[in-house]
Amino acid sequence: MSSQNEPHELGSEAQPPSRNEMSRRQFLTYTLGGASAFMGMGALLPMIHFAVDPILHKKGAGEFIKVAEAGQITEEPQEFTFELHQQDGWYASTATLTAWIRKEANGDIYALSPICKHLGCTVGWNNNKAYPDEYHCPCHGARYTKLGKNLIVSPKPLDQYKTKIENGWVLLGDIIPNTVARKEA
Amino acid sequence: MKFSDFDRQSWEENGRYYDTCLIPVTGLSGAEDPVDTIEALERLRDFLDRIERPYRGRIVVYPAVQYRAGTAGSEYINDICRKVKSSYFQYAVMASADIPLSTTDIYESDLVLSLTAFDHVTKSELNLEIGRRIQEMWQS
Repeated sequence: MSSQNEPHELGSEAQPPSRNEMSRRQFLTYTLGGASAFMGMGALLPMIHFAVDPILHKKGAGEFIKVAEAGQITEEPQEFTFELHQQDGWYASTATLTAWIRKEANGDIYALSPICKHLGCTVGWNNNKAYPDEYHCPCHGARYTKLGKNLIVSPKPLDQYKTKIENGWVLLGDIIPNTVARKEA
Repeated sequence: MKFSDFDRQSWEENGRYYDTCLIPVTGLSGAEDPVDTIEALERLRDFLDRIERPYRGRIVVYPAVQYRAGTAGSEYINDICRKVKSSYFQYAVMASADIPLSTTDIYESDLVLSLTAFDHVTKSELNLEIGRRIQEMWQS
């Protein structure tokens, strides 16, 4: 009896491993593949990080820069220049900006951008004797009121800076469309 | 504005407002090493920014005249000024950072601005002085 069973038992030992077991070939494939992928990612990740680096950084929007002491500001507009560090993609630069800052009788402080809304020249305050107490553009004669309202040539009022006061200093932020010019009749 | 900032449509739309052509003169001799050349071009770029930036709605910066060529160079520059003014511009302004230019030699230009002629003024005064001369030219 036992001699009849032997071949059957031997035959079952020689069968290939079932699907649930890992062969040596599979083990080596997975191990080498995994190690290669790990090393490949190690080389690729810094490159991917470099490519998308500017997107990962927060934009400068919302940053405020200390420009002048609040006590210096009068109802007559005064010109102040300040430096803004800019990051354009991978290119870092420093821009020198100008603002005309004044305060209202109630103490509110406003800062206007001097860039003419006609074609981008730089306006000045009270720089045309024929039209006192106005901003005047030397290029094509655009004129603006003290609040930046456009009088002639320019299609829009002067832009203004976001402004806030902190510890006795005037801080300027992003340039935004003028919100005070429409107060003027 | 730089000449390269215009396209056909924007020039046809707003070209009439740009009546002043600014032509830079590098003044290189050819004997400069690469580093000197870079520094010379950076000085000229900074000087041009001072002239163009406040008036970018009226001044167009054209490509530079490269290298100086003695008295023959003056005639060459005069010829450029003449052609510039006979086509699209009313005023031609020449600007150089390193070599002195004179209206006697460049008689076809309406204004010459050489940084070497402003040695005695501070940086803030320089902007005012450049602005004064440009506005005088426009008002004359």
